[in-house]
Amino acid sequence: MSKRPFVPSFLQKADDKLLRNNPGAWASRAHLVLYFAAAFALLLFVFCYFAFFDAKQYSNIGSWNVFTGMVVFIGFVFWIIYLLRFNVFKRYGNWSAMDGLRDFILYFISIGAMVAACFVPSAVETIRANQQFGNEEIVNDVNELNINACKLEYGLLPLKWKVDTCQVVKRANSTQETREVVVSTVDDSVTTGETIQYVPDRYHYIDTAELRNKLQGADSILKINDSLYVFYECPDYRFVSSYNADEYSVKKLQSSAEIYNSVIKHYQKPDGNKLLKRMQELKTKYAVNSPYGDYYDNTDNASYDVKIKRKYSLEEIGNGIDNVVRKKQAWLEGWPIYLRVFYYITLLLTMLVFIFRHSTTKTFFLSLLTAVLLMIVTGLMMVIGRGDEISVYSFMIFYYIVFAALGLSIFSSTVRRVAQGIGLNLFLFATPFIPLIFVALNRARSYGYYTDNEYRMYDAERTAMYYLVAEIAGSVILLILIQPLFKKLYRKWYSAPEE
Amino acid sequence: MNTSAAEISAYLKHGDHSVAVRRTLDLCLDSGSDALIEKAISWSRLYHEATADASAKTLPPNFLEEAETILQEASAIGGGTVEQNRQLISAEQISKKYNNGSFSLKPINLSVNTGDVLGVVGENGNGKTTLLRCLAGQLGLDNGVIKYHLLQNPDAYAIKNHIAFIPQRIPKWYGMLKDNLHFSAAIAGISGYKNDLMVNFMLERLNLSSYAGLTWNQISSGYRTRFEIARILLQKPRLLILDEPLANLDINAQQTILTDLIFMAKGSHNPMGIILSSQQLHEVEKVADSVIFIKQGNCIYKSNDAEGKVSSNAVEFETSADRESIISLFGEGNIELKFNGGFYTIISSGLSSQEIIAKMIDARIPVTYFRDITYSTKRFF
Repeated sequence: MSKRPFVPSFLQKADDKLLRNNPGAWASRAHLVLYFAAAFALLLFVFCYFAFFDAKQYSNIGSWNVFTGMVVFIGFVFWIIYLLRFNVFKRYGNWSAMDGLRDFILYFISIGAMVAACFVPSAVETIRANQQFGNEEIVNDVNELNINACKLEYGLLPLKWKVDTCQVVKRANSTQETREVVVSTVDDSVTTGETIQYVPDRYHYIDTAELRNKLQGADSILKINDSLYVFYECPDYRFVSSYNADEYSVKKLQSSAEIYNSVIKHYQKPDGNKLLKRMQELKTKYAVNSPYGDYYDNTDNASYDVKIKRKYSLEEIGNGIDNVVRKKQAWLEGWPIYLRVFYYITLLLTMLVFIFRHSTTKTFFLSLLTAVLLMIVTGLMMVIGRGDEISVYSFMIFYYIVFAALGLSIFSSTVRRVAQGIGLNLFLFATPFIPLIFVALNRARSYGYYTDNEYRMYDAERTAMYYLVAEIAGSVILLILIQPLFKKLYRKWYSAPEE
Repeated sequence: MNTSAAEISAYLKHGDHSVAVRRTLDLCLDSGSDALIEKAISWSRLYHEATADASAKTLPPNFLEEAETILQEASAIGGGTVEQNRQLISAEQISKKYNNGSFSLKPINLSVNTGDVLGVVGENGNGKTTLLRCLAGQLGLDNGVIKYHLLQNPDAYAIKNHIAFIPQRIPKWYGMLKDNLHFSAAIAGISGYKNDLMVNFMLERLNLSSYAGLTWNQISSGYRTRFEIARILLQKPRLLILDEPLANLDINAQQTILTDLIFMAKGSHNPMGIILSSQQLHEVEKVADSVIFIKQGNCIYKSNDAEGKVSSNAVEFETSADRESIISLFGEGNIELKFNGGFYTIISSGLSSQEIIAKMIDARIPVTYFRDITYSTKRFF
């Protein structure tokens, strides 16, 4: 047995044992791929762990992904070269009842291990950000920054609230008069609605959709009657704000109105030195210069918020906090996307490898060429015939039927024909996507067009569930068919005499 | 065709150690005893190590004593039952025409039994490889039927699992040679300890042990052929088809490989039939049970059919005597004399080959080479 470099003795022994007892599993090299992928991932993890020591910095995960992807691609090519060496199927060796499924699963695991390594930098970045900054910590710091800025720069702050009086109508239009009333000050009575007077002719019209938005966004609301509302908007006192920073914290980011109530309404002069020192600490903790430069207006005409931000480097602090929050939440928010990216890359490559291992080299590449040509031809037909989404899906289903017919014709064939091989390859390749295509076709047919003068919006949640079911069903169908159908077809096709 | 222990003892007694080692290994393999096979492998390995250096022809210590012990044990166990004359493959009126060429293989009938060796000879481009590829299930037939008698309703995969085909150009092996052998044994269902045992046996049997740790690029084309044969034999095919296997072998290796194949084919471990094509008529005819000659796609000669049916005898010989003296010896009109630049060929309906050589010896004509080609395909070249 050849001694493989960088392979520990236990794996070498396992390799020897597999070679002698399970040549199919040995030939897949899954055990070596798993080992090297795990070793690479671990190395990468350690390296990234130390490289990502400062979570507030701008993420360079894209570069890391490119680097990792290139290493993994080189590993993949090496693996393919090793796969070319030994093939039980192409040597007409003995085969067990489930070896097709086993091979597919081993390829999936091997490719999955390689693809998963590409996600290590991103995962480490999230881990490091979560280690360095707590959810509550960030919210507290942001609130403290805003409050301190307001306390320190009270004199610069605008105190007038915007007032917007709205008449709710069924459908608003541009010809209706728009009014805005600005009041000089705001006190508790505003929010309770005890003293405010509205002027009947000074309002603007909004529809119910805009009412919903205003109800959600207003800092204070006065409901005069069922159709007449007064909305109050506090000036912006949030100099540092990070989207979703309080998504996973118990404490929430204070709104401008809350800051107003807590600090500005009953303003008391603070201990300036103490606050300045604390502001400096937070700056050290979070501030990061933007790689694109700052956008501060350096003139004296700059608005109050620009002046305050410039004075305390709040833009830079905001950059750092944004970076931290993005990194912390990357996996919490993005895992369904990551999972799909991982799954589909792995599935596509697995199917290609499986086809490559069961097909002749010529037929494999002709299959790829056929797929590309069909895409081009279909695209042209769509353009020329002004085809819609339904036409695209219909074409796909038509092609699938043709591939399936070609593939299944192998059962009655006595010689190996290239066309049948291409059909079989594409039949297999398209199978997991067929349920998705049917769901997409059904969605395109059922929604998205006007019926009875009403635009039928599709139920996004339900459609997403249908897609998910179709995704799972496609893979399950493929797994079910691999052994009893595809492996049998490949066996018959590949071993048949040439024409 | 089990070589008996007595025969092997005779080889050893007369100093034919190499053949004795090979036959002893065969005998042990046929015995079916793993322990004995392992013992024979160790014994053979010592022999090959000791004789690896061409200048030092010394035998390893206790070589003969150990041989005697092994032979006694093998005799005590006895060989397996040799499966003979079981029909493996028969082809009836098979023909093939290429779509893009003018060449076609005309209808041919043939049959091969267990232990049989069928030689296919003919000039280049006359259809030998096409015939072999048809028999191996690699090319579809235009007409005719091939029956694989040991298989019931086989599909093409089962047929290719049953048959081993070694092409003239052997595809490159990747990785270490020994790994390839382990793999081949494993895909034939030989696993675990048995896998190691059989790989080591085959390496010793074909004297390849010292090359097992090398790669394909590190060995000569002759050794590549040997490794390919070792690999194929580990897969235990019932029918072995070899296309020009002798092309890359030296003269000694040609004879050794052929006789080894015959012994293994006729052994009880994995009795098989062999079909081989070659240009080495002499070597093939020496070992083949029957020979067919193909010319321009037609089978124009079958040695089995020809036995006793030829109307004239033919010999070829090499001599320094001139044409006139040979003709004067046999008499004008009694023989047909041909000269191809190297050999003379005499065709005579009245004289047997023994009579021809006797006359030449009596006439003191110097003969450096003589061969009876009455039943040989050499007559057709």
